[in-house]
Amino acid sequence: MDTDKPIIEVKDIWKTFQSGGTTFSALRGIDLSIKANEMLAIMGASGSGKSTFMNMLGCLDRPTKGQYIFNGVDTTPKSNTDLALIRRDFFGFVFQSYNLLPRTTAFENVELPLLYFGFKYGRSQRQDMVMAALKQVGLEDKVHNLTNELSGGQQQRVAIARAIINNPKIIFADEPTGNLDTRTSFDIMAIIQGLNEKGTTVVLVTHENDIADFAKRKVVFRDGQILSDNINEHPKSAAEERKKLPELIEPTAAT
Amino acid sequence: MNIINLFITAFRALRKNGLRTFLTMLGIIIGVAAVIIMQAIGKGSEEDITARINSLGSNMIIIAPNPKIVNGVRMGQGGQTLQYKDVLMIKRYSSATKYISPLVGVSRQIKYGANNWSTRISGVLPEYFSIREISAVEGSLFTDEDLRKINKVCMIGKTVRTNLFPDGSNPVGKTIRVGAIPFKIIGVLNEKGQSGVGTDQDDVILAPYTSVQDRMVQSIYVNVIFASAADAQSIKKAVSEIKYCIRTSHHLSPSDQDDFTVNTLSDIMATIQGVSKILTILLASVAGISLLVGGIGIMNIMFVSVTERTREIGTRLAIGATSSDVMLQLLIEALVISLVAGVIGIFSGLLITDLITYFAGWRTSVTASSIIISFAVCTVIGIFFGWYPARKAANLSPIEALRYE
Repeated sequence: MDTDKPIIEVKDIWKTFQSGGTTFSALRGIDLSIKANEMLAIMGASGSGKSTFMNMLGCLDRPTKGQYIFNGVDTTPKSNTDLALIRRDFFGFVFQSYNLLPRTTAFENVELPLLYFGFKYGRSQRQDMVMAALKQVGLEDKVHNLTNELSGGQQQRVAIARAIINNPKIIFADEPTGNLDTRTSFDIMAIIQGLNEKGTTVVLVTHENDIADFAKRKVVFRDGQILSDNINEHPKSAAEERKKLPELIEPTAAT
Repeated sequence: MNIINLFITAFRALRKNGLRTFLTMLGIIIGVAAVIIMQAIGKGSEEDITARINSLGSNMIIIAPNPKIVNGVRMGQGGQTLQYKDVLMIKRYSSATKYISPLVGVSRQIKYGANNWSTRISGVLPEYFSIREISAVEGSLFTDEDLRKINKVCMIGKTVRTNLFPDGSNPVGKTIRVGAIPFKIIGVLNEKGQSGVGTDQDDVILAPYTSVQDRMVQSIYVNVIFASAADAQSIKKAVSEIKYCIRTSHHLSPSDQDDFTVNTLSDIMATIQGVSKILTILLASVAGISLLVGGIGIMNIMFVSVTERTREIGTRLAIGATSSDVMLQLLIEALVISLVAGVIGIFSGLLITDLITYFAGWRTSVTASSIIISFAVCTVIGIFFGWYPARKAANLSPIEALRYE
């Protein structure tokens, strides 16, 4: 892939909400381009429009005005079904609250995206892919555990495995460590950094500076506009930071 | 998503909520079972009635006297207008009538040894056996010779036998007293059970017409005339011929009303079957209502399910499910619920129907149509009541669904 060519190009994006006669613009003319293999942290206070922007990038939402070009294709005129197929083929999502299916095993959760590929993946092929993904996040021994039997960090790792099962071009992570303690947060960030090192573009939304420090580029939002856009020359390594933390005798799981 | 994966997904979702799924199914199970059971009971009673009427004899024609009107006063039932000469007239001139027999009867106290029993002794011609499909299970039937010789012989039905011979001994050859007159039993009649209107058809004694007529009744009038047409098609023709013959025999002028009534079994059967058909429809509609309620139950649960699973639906949309994937999944869930419930309902319906027959002794008849219809109704219910909640889910915006608390 030509790394100089932007994988994401956003031109003058506006998002306006109407409520009770008043209009409110969550995004006010954003221009941004993201190159392949970037690891981008979108920061900002709550209400700054960072989540709205990420949803837009993830094709979960449509801009009121402006153009969003993904991988050289203008997504703005696409149908809902086409957007769903873009999400299926190119994106992986990691949410703050994991969004795993309740009363379902880790295996079934990770397998889920593959089921939406029609006849592309057979039963044994799906099995192999799920096992590989769970191994990548270090959960090969929890394959058949129900998700409510897992700790918060383990659940988020299942969510990451689910996000990477389709070998996505971009991973969108919306406050992936928001519900986790520091240790687990760093574990999760180490996995995400690892994915980025293997070539996946990562867009990370966070309001925590020490999480954003792991990214290669920081974009700060305020009131629906970009306040600053800086390259992080020396991104920290989450794995290294994790080692610096004093080990607990008995690690407690955050939920 | 391909159809196999859709079913996998739907089954997983239903299995996760086992209890809720079962409770939803319960409405359909009960509904389908009720439809099958009610229909089986209704149809069974209809068949039962038909069989009982048929046991009276097929293609049978009954000619009964009308009450005489004397000076404007109707004399009540059992009038005396029919005579043996009418029988001879019909025998000679009605080609469509195959068999014909008069019947004269009197009630008498019957005695054998220490046992006695009150019943009717009926005098008939041997042709009566063909009309009523009567045969002897023990001994034999009387013959034309018995008739000619006015022999004091008789055949008894099962009820008479059990009352006069409670020890189970063979009555053939024994002599009983009918009133004061001794009659020799020459045969025991085949069992006929209850008639369609509830009279015991086995509580009878049959003797040659001449014996009863000459020795006991001593009247020229007969109670009733039985006839049978050659086949079902010629019943109508036989009836009109019989009417013509009797009117001629009775010298009725065209302005006179019939002094007799001709009934056929098909008239009676049609009336009773009509009633029991209405009963069947009534029972089935009540059961159908419960099936409908079951369907509404599915819709309720699917609605609750869509609301409860809003975040799940949002997640599915985010990871690449299209609206039609979500819609199909929920539709298939509803369909699976109603079809599985339908199959369970059919089997429990069949089982309960058997139990009813076994324990209550009711005649039941499960028809293929009731199974097919209730299964089809299940499918329709699944799609119909699953459609709206499924569409609601499919139209969710992924963002709003993901944010839903």
